[in-house]
Amino acid sequence: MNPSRPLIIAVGAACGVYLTLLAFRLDYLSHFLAGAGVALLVLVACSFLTTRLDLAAVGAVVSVGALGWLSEGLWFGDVFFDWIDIVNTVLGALVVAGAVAGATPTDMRRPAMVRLGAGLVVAGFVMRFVLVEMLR
Amino acid sequence: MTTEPTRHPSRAVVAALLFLTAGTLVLGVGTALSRSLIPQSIHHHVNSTELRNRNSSGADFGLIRIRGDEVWFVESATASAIPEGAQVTKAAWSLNGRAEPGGSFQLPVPTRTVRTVVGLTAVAGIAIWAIVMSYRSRDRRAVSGDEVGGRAVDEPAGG
Repeated sequence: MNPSRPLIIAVGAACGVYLTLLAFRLDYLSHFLAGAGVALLVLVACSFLTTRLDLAAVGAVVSVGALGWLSEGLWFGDVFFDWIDIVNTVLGALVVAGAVAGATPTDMRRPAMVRLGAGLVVAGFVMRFVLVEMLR
Repeated sequence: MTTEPTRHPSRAVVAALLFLTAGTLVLGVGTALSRSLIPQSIHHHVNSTELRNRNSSGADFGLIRIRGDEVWFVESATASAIPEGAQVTKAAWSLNGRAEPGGSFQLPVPTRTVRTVVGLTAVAGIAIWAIVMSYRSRDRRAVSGDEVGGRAVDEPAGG
């Protein structure tokens, strides 16, 4: 199975939801993109270590949630600790984990998956620290 | 038939992912609802209210400081409706409250809260769709011959 297609469909549909319903808080989308990207990169790394990508998917979601909680507490929760930021980050990881849970390690080791994961992380940071700041 | 090791998400993994999705959604919806102040009963002296802008054009959230310097983070429209320097009383799940001094006040319909709840639910729905599709794809692989005798090819023969 090539997981790229369901992955792109699911992430694209979620981006559409954020841009239509939650455009008043673009940082929610940035958290979603960053969570999705980090989860994808974690799963690519796990594909070199295990064939059980389904278990790795659960681990990736939990790891991204813990990382989001830490980063919100240490760096991004500048005014207050926002649980909805963490929720959006974890939802990004869940969408990716769901889309690739049935993939094989070879599917995940494709360079396109690394580019997609890195692209999602970069898009999340650019949106949060460039686009959102421009709109303020 | 492929020699590629094939793994499908087990039922336990699918259940775990669905449980995490549901828990995340409950956390998000609960947090969003609490920021409208509608589910809460209030019996506090409000020292000050303040609007701030952090992540979008225009004020996007409000701070309410109550007695003892405790701070609540609420919707900006909600913060605008709460009278400052007054003893505020409001029943849970009501839009109407009383401030002394100041008289009665009404909280606005929380449109941003509603949009947040609907948006988070839709994204959680997409995650559930992706999880279910991933689980169902194992049946398609079995039909196309990716798996041997109903067993993933990287599982031990005796397993």
